[in-house]
Amino acid sequence: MISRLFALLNAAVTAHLNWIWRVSVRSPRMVAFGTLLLLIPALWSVATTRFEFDIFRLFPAEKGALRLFLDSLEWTGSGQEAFFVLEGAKGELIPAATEFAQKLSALKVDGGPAFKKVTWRTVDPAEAEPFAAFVGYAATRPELFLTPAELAGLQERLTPQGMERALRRATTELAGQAGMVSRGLIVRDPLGIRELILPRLRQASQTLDLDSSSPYFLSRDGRLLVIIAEPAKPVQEMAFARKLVAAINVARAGSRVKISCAGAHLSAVIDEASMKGNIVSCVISSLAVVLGLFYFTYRRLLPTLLIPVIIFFGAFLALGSAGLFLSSIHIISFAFTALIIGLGTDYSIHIYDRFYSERQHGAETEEALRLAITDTGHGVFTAAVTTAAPFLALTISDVRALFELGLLVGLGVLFSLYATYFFLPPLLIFAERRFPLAIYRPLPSFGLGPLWDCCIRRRRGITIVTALLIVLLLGAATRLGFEGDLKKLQPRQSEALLTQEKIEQHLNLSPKSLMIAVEGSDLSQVLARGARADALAERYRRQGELVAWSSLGQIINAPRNQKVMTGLLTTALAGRDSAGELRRALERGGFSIEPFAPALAGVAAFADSRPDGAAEAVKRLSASPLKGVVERHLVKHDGVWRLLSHLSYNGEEFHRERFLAELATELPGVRTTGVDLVAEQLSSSVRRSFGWTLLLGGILVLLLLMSHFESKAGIFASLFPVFAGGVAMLGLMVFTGMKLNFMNSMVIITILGMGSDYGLHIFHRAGSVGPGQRERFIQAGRAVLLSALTTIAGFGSLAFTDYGAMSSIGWATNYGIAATALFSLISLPALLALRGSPKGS
Amino acid sequence: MIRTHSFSVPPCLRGSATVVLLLSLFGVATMAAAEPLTPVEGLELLRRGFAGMTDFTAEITQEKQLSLMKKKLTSTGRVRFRRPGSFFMEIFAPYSSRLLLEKSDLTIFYPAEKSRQKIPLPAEEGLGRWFTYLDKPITTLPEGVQLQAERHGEICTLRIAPQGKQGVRELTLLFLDDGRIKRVIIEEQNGDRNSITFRNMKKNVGLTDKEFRLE
Repeated sequence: MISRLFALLNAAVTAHLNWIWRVSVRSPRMVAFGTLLLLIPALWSVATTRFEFDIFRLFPAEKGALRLFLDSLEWTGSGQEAFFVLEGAKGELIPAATEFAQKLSALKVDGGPAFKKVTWRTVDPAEAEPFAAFVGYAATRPELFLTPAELAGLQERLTPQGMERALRRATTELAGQAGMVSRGLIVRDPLGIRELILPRLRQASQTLDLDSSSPYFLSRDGRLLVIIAEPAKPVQEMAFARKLVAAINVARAGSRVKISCAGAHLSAVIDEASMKGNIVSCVISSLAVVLGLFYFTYRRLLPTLLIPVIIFFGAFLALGSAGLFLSSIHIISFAFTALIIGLGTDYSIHIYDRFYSERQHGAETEEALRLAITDTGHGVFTAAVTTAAPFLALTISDVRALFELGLLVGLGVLFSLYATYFFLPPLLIFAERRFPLAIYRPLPSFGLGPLWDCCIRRRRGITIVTALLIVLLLGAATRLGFEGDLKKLQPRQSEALLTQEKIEQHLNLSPKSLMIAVEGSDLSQVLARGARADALAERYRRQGELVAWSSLGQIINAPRNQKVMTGLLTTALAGRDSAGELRRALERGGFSIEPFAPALAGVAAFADSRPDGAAEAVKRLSASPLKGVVERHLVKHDGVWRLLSHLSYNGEEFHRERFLAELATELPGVRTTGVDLVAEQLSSSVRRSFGWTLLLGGILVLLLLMSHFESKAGIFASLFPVFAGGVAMLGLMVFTGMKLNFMNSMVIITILGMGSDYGLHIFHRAGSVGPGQRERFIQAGRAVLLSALTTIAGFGSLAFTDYGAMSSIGWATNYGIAATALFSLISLPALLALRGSPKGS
Repeated sequence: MIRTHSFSVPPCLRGSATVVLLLSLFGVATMAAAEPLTPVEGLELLRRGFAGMTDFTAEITQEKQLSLMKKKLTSTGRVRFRRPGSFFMEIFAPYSSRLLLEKSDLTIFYPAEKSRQKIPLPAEEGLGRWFTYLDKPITTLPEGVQLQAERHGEICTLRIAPQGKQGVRELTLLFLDDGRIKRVIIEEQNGDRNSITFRNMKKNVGLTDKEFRLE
């Protein structure tokens, strides 16, 4: 039953190839018309496709840690911010920062200010008054801003002696030269309650490891200074972002210190030009190598010139077809179309090689073309489909990078195949008529004849060495690690990435961080739940597992603690007239009473129970210079409050899994994110995609091979080099210090499709024992060797890109393809020889 | 006649504690018949007086009339200055405090409580920039404040009114041709007034680091 089905399939493919041969040879105008018919809609589709640059959009972000990470960038606005890092000697840094900050503040884009706000120092004299206003408010609300542990300090200040002492200190401050600054604080807080509150505020606002003796965002070693700027428009507006970056480049030109720029989205624009340059140079270099190889082997200009046309057609139609399904395509996915340069050339090599060989043996042009298209073309068809199938199987992945890679390369392979079928025959007929070759000289054999002889002669030895090699590489492959760090996939020379790394190295409190999001519609409830997360974090900090943690709960008491504080204050102040005592103390100290009226009213209401205190506290804090603390820790988005706690840790001493389990028990439904969690989510997503794609791609390849070959030997011949090549690839990755990552792990699947072609072609032509087997091996082997070299040229260009993701794919594929080709050309003939007793030449 | 001119003080002069520090360097003298000066002439006189001065010490008497207090706060103390940017000021009991400005690091020490407050100032608010400004002959005036200058006998008076509605409303500086400052009067927008009188001002006495220690 299955045999009949496969026979039917084979017959259909043969009929299809015969039709292609007839149309391409006899109706070139129809080919031209059909090409035009496809190109027009593809052109429209490509023109309307938007290209993405944001690295985060390459991965599934509908849920989990990555979703929360991206949401938090949006909620807090930090995804919009531009970070400028100035490097140099301390003496030069501050004047340069002053000058550059002034330039940024004055920067214009389209006639308007480029930035809404430029923050370049921790202390702004203009914010003294609103700061004093907030501190004054906080000093009247101990139930919100003091912990029970600080109650004793407050009580001491409310004793007659404490009041005297506080007012004596206030008088001393007023008499001194800082009195002008202190006045605003003293009038609002004559008892100095701020001394109990300020440490909490300072702790919560300290998000970076800065030199606390400097008013700038200066690293402790004094060699790095950060300026933070908020662009006037969202930087996702690429036209604005490009102009902004151009203006920034002008502003930083000629600075006496090195100035680099980073930002979650702005980085895309900064790196855009280098990314484009990188991709273009890749494409051009690999195209030059591929064309050079083809011309060097076949010495014929027209077929060589046809190759870029076929590749362009394949890539363009793939992009156009993908554009029909996708509203946007990521620039990294687009870069993968460079693979079509290598893969798309293979079909021209096999078909032209067969055509040339037949002509060399005296066949007429049309007959040579018929054999090339329908016989070799059958192998090419199966090979192309086995290559395309695993790529297309990647479209089941929920990882956008893999989906787009699979779709673009899979379609590109198929379109290149058909472009070869339809374009090459008319061109060859034209070339034979206008520029006929006087003699069909033998094509270079690249030493494949002696190689065949050697493989046949030493088949046992080669088989044993092959087996040992596979065992050795398999052993090495088991030690292959996984690289979960997304940064390693980004451009290595990216200014934004390097700048971000500098900030992390010099200013981060710890190398790693974790964010907890407690969400809900009622602020009090959210704060109450957040307090439970804070308590857990504090326990881990005390155990030495966390370096630090920050939360709004460090500043504003949760409702439960507010009640506790109110109760304690009521008890402590029962029967006391604290306001009256303070008034009398002020009078004794020679103070005017009137300016202190609000402070006196605040003291009188210390023990009053006031509802919804937290909401007012958040409002007051947001209106103060400490609003950054609120923005970092509390967001109201779409009517939902999100309380964000930030945990800093060094590494393995933090038992993250245990912490998350406890957190989930304590606060079911709470969300968490962090670099490690995002990496784990992506790793799990890729693993899932890998499993399904391997299964689907493997089944498709196997079915295609079963359909193509009637014998098990043919299927073995196709799959053995792939298996050995895949093992070699993984083993070589270990030997060269590489790791599997989100992207190159998929190469294993694509090797399955690409690599099976080599064994297929060798077995297709040289699998049967008989006269001319050596020549058939040379012909198929030459095409396989050239295919491998052109594929390596295509992937090789990726290996040398600056993008870690593409580079790792490039190297992994090159190892896999090179190894598969060698196993096909050396080990496979030896194994085939063991099976039968092939004669040499 | 008093001439006025619009100019901008360096940011170091704009309403912060540093303003007080800078102008605490200066004192006052008796009044005589007024002779008008241009703002440039007034500032140039001040600059020339400071030329060649490497350090000085002086005793001070400070009188503060604050809106928060019913009584006037009168205190005595001393000041020390050394180029390029060291300034020390001590107020004696009953309002004991010591203040040290080194470049742009401001530290205040309260001996009674043995407590310190460290306030890092932006670089442009240190003394260095102010003296760099006074190092070169003054031919043009910055923007942002109103300035009046006049001479009464041997005493020159500079009145500087920064623009803006917060902080200092007017600074009055009285000094001699040789750079000795007699009095500084600081009036704030909120009505507070501080008058610092300098006595026994001695120039180039060779102050060392130990004279600039808080404890």
